Amino acid sequence: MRLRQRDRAALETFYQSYFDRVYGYVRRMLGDDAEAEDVTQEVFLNLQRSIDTYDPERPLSPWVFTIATNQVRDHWRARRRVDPLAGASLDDEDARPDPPARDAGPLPALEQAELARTLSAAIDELPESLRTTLVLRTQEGLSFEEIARLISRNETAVRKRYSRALEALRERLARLAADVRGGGAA
Amino acid sequence: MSDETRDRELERLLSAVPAPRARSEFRSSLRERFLAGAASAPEVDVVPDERAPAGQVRAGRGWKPWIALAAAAGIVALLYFTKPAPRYWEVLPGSTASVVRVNGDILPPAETDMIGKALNDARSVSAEGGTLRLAYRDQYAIELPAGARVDFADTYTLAALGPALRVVTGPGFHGQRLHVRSGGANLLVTGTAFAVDNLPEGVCVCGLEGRIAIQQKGHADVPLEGGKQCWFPKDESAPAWGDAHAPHIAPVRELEAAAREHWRP
Repeated sequence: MRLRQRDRAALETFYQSYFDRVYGYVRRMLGDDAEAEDVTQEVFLNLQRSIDTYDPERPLSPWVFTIATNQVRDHWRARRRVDPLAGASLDDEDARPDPPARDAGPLPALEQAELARTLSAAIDELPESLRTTLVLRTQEGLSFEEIARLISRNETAVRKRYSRALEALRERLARLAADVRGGGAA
Repeated sequence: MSDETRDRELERLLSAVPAPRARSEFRSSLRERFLAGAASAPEVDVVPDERAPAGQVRAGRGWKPWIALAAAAGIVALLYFTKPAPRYWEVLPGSTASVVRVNGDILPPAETDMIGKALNDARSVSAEGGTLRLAYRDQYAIELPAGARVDFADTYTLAALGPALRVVTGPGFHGQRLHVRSGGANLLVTGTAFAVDNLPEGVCVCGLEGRIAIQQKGHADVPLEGGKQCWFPKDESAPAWGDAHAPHIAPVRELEAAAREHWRP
């Protein structure tokens, strides 16, 4: 296909379609504008270098986000070499026990904008492995199977991570709702 | 409320959380670097020729093995070139375009096989003087009205230019994703039928059925349900929502009927 041949028009369409998604994903994973720009740049240069490896018969998104995820991992590794306390591994989350099941109740009736801000902040606070799974699933629309291949885990582990991520978000929203109710009563 | 219901509600909210946005200067500077590689990048990587170790160099070369090898290569080439090209793209009934361009080259509209083959490796297709309906395997069908053009980054990543593009996904689309960009709107489709109309004042996206994730520069991703319309003003102000616009939906219904007939086993 034209993309593999590095046709300029095809690359342009590709860039316009994927830039926001890749930057949004990388920024969400790294939490820092400058680092996100560095890594996004590496991702796109890497995508261009690796374009021969793309199979046009397969969906493009998993290939793009595999490269983006690997680049984010490389960045984390480099960051940990500088600061060993920074960031947990993408892989060590599976070792954690499941949190006890809790009924967080209905989602709080917050204003939409406030809710979006709160959710956004809550996503940023998730452990990296849960965040990767959640963002790839809910914002990039990848299937559990695709995410599993992408992060070299089995599908069951990915589904488990996803459930834990939703649970963590529900708890955070419930805490916020309690704060809002408490504040309103005072 | 059950766990499943709560999860669905939370997933709906999460899909509407705005993704972080990059600085426009960074976006454009990286674009330059990304596209700069397009013209200069070699299509095939050049591997430096390595000299074989002296011990591995053959002392003599008979001519018979070379003739046999050449004959085998000839047979393989013959089989390859006489093999019928796979029919990935097909022109659907109901196409009325008087001019079809693939990669800018005019092809006779009646030569549907030729158009289909040309589309297998196309970077663009456009229609003039009428509509052009195309199906990609059993994955999706598109309709380009007169004056419309579609640019392909790959089979599942399209840019819709010109007045409109109508899209219907097919029975084999399950699990795939289609990316359609038009004006300021990015659409991520996971199984649906919809129309994108590029009007002077903005872009109108009307869903017929299924669900589309819509992204507009500077705004949150939002889902568009069937029967609903999302209006993206050219000035990039906030999108407006409403019921699907009947004149935009009607051609999608017709395309859907033609595509279903085409995909019928």
